[in-house]
Amino acid sequence: MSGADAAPLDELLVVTVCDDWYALPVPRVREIVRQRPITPIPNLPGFVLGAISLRGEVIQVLDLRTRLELPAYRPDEPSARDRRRIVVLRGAEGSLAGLLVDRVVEVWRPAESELHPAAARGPGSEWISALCARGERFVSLIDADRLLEPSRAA
Amino acid sequence: MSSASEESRAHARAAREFVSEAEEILERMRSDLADLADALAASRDTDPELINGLFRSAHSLKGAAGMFNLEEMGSLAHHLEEILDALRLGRMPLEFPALQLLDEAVATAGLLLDRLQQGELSGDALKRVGDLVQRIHLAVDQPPPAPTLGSASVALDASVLRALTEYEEHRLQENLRRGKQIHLVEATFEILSFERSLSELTRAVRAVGELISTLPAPGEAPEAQIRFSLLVASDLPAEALDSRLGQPNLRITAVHDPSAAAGEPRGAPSARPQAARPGSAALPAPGDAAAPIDSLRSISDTVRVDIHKLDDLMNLLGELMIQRTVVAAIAQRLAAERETARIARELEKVHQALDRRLRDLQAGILEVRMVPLRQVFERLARVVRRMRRDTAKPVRLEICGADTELDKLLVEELIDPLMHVVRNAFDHAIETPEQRVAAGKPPEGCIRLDAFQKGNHVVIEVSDDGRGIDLEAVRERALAMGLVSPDQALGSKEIVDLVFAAGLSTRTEVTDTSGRGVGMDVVRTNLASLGGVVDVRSKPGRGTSVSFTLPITLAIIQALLVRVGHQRFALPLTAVRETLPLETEALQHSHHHEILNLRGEPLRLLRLRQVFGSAPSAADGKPYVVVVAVGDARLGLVVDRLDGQQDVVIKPIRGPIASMRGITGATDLGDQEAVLVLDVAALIDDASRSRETS
Repeated sequence: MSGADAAPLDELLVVTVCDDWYALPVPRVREIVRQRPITPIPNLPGFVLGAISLRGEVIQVLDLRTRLELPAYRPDEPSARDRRRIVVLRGAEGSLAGLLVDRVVEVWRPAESELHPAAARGPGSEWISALCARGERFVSLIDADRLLEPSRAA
Repeated sequence: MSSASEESRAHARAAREFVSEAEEILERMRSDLADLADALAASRDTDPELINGLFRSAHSLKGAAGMFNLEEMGSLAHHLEEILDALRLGRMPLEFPALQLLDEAVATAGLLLDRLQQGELSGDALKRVGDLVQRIHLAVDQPPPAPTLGSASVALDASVLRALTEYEEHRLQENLRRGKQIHLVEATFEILSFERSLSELTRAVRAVGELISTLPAPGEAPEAQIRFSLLVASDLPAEALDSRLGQPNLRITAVHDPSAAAGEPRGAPSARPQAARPGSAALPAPGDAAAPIDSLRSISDTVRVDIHKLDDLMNLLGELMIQRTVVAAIAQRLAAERETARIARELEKVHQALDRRLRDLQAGILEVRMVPLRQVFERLARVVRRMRRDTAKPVRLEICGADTELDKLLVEELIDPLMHVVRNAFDHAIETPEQRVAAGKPPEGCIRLDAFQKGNHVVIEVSDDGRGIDLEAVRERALAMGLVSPDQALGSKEIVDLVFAAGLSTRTEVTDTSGRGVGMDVVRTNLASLGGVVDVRSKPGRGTSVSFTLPITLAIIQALLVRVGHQRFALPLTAVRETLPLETEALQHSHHHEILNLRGEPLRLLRLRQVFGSAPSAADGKPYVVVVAVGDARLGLVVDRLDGQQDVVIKPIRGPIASMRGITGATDLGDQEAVLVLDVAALIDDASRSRETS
């Protein structure tokens, strides 16, 4: 399901995290909500920010920055506080997770020619399944299914 | 040929499934019949609930027989039901002939069951059923005994008499026959609180007599009030009844006094039973006419529902409850302003009515989720039977409380742990017949399953009369595994607790059915994830008892809301024993832990702030201690503030992290914020573990 085979057909939701551009497959996006208070959950790995309640459903929110090993949020980071969004992803088996991103840019359908294999290994590269060329910019396609995979708390 | 034998095998299999359930029903009926016979012999007034109970039993038997396609048993149960219905409604006098017929029917059902168990129904059993059914027809078709006193002798409004059901009508007759006083108790209640008041009144009435019927009273009630009429039979005259009920706003009218002359018709419409019954012999007997329709109904009046649909309903309800708190908050805001105070009062009324209905709805949905433990117990009974066959070890299984109800999801989760414990008892706890005789016990061992409700919990006990836990063996094993140090003094309670330690098993051999390395630690972990606790008591040579204590339902809990820093937490109220302000004078440090002297008993404290790493908030006042307990284990949780109690719907926290130690889920209190619900059992467990390692 994941990887470059199925991806070109999907529309992508382009988001920014730390001024880098990333994309999520639209079929995996259930909804996008404004950032809201996140209840911290103790004793969990750092990439889990906590939980939000969404119309009675309680969903874990993952910090994309930590997951992608990018610099963490600073509490006073002024850049785009009210542009931050929580993208709620839905996995194939109904699994759910919220993803905190800095900004939602657009929905875009890449052509097959615009798709390239993921860049060489690096910090956080395990979550990237492909690289897309969007004009001048490169957009890293996030492997949503991998992100939603169950992992054990430390 | 082979298909015929396959068919008979399938039939035999179905029969076996049916037998254990039917056995229990018949046992219950025998005991009820014995009570009934006692009451009749002593010419005491019989409790109408006895007949009602027998009727329900016969109905269950019929349902089960229908499910397993056992025609003869179904027909017999149906006719049993017929007699009981006739008795219940007073169409047939409750006298010895009827009782004899019932006795015979139950005995015949027992015989059928016996034959079914052996796998065949012989001609003589079938003939016996046929004969009996004939006689039941004759008995039930007798014209009803003429009422000794017409309902007409009761000074009641015709509209009241018409509103009585056939059963209530019969109870009225029956009480008239027994020479009771009949009263009409009219009560007026506040609409907002009438349910409680009415049930209080009902209880009070039942203490001094029989409540025949509760009817809404005709006529206009004052605003915001509601009136009821209760038809009551009692030995007491009106004034005495009034003083015994001791409630204001009651108006009691004697509608029938046996000392007064009675019996002249007053032109009131005749009682319904006579009018409703076909009087002509040409009409088919009611039993025959009702049979096909009745049997269809008994199968289709239950609906199978996917438990997840109930979960969806529960979720919807949870959201409604959130909306309800929003309404309450608005009412409070409006009440603060003088010009809107009146609207606030109206809104508050709406809120209360909404609240009541929502609670009813909640109770209704919860009730649907409940299933009797019977199913689980029966599966265990089958396992024991199989083990008995395979090992030729004589072990008897006693079942008690199979009607105890529990949330369907919990029941599913319980099967494996219970199976484990039962197999353990069979394989390891119960000795060989020779060993038992040598120990002065009967050669046949006994495993007992017992379920009962205790407050908001259900307790299920598996006890055996086997050898008990070998304390020395457990101790040695624990020593060998390094779980305890050689010089550690262990009481028998501590040693029994060691049984739960991971991987500890005193048995080296592995049998077919148990001892595959799944230990009591797994049982305990599974139970803990359901909010339950396991306890073991054992007496060497006398036996072992394992008890499971579980909440009745998982869906909605009453919670105590607490605050630590800015974060709120919910604690299941069932685990909360008390709350008290933390007095620093009573605080002591002992071996890295804070201990509170609670009325002379040491209470280990756990600061939630440390566990959950909340930042201290600026305006903290004096902290509070919430004393929580699971079983015998207690712990004091230190929190900043108590925020009151609330019913909360526990939701799973969905996401890639599946297990979160110390947290059972989260809830939304109406402000779109997730509030964590703490797993008290895990917190206590972790605290006691850190005690062991320190």
